[in-house]
Amino acid sequence: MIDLLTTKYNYVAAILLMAGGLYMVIGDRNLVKKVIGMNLFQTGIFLFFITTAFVDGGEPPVIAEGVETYVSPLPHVLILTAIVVGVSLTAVALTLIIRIYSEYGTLREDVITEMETDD
Amino acid sequence: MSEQNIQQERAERPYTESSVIMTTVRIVAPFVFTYGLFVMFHGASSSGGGFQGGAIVAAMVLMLAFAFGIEPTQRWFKNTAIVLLATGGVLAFLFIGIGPLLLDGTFLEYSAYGFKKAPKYGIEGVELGIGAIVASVISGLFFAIARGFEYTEGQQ
Amino acid sequence: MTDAIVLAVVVPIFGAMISLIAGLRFERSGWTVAALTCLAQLGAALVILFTVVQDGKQRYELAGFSPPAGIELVADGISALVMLLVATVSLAVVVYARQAGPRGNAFYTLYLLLAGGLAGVTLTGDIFNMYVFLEITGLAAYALVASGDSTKSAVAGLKYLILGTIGASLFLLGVGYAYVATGTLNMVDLSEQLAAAGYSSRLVLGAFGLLVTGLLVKVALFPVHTWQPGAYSNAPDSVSVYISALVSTVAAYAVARVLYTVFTPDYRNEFVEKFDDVGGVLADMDGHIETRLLANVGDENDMFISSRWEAKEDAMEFFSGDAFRETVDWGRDVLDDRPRHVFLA
Repeated sequence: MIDLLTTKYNYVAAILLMAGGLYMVIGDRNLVKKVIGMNLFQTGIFLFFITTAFVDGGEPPVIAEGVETYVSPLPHVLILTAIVVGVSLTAVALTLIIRIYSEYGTLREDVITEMETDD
Repeated sequence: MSEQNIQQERAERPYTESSVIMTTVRIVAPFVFTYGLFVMFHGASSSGGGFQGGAIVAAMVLMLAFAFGIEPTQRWFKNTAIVLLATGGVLAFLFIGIGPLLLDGTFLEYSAYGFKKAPKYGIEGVELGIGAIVASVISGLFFAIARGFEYTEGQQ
Repeated sequence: MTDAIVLAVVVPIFGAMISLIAGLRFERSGWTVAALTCLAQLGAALVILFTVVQDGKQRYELAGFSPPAGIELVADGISALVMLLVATVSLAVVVYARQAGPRGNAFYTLYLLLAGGLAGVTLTGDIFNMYVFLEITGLAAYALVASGDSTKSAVAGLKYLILGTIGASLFLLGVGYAYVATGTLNMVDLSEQLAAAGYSSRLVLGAFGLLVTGLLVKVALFPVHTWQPGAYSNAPDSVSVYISALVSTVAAYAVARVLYTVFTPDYRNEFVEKFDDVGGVLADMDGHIETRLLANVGDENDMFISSRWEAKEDAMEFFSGDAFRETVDWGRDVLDDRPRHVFLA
């Protein structure tokens, strides 16, 4: 257990972030917190990807003189795209939440469900 | 009643945040913008690129909005400009990509363009397009969220 | 003309941008732009279908980089058909939306983006490219569902957004596992490398579970279907038609693509390969003539190993040895039923 924490701590951190984010999405009543949880979940995934790209003794993936090993640049590029996707999804979610708030006056999803079934 | 008076006052006075923020932003904003452009241009051979540079430029627009008020910033960076930048970026990407198709290559094959170092310029052109898209979309979304919603329908 | 593969994806995106720009000046031009674009996409889909029928599977390398390093678009029999479905339904719903649907260029912009994203999911041969197009599709679908008049559309759109994003993120994690296991992202290459990495390795099993689960959220299979009733009922009419016809269907196509191309239905094949290795070992043993693996025509999982030896003693020597026992144990791990041994001397 201890050597898992000392050698593979990046995976542990990624799993903790993912679990925290997923719990927030499922467990929180506030809509904005759900969106934050979604972001946290995605951040855990990005951390997982990027830490797997690391090569021991590797240099940043910019071509320079006399450098032998580079860190693998492909996951970085993948995660850039995924981050941008995540940002735009968060923005759309927040716009929808504003619209919901202006109509229902509340951000709690149980109250909203009740109000919807009452209509 | 008094609330109406307060709102009227607020509408007449120009919006000012604290003077520290305004002064700082006035000085720093051009440098941030230049830095964003620098990051956009250097995507091909060092860290940086379209997404990162666009986010920095959008951060500059947000900074201006915080310092000078969202309404004035929106009047400066009009909706038309946002749409044109975003679509211009996508169209630039598509045209740079479709060009090789006309010259007997595959989509986005920069080396099909005749001139020397075509891949480098092609990539930089695409990164600039992407930077324009990201900057304008993030700013536009910020303005949309800030505008809020009086309850009529409408999107974007 | 295989440029049609790329054009089927590029033309709707181009049309979406035209619709957005035209919306600044001409208020009601969205329908015209969308109709023309969908006609062009249908034309490209028909060209793809004819090319595939005549020449077989078409592979189109983007940017001139060939597959394990580059991204490619692939049109084979099934993806050409799904592409034709996407193009036809897009055109049909545009015709319907003239009468019934939301007007305004914002709607048509999102609509064309959705059409382009669906075309991308159908035609891509690279698994991360599939994630990107899935997210484009999802984003356009969330915005379209939420564009209805009542606030219920917004709530349904938000629910769809959160669940769909979790699904797509699980898909991304699966792509990450598959990349860590093999180092490649191209689907055909991935299938070979995953087989080489071993189908029973935990990394590959994890990749499979995550990829399929993420896509099944988009397909709205039973436990994760809760976004679907709200989204379909609260969306505007033409959006409801379009999304119900295409989005889950293309996601199901993606599941099929992942199952059949990336993870070939070949736990059985792995056993056959291992058997060839064992055959090599056998060939070196004294007195061995021939060993063959036969399969029952009626039931693929029913196999018969026939082994010919020169003398019974040699055969018995092999069967009582370590190598054979290890193979049997391994076989028990891989197959569900215990291999039954019947010795016919």
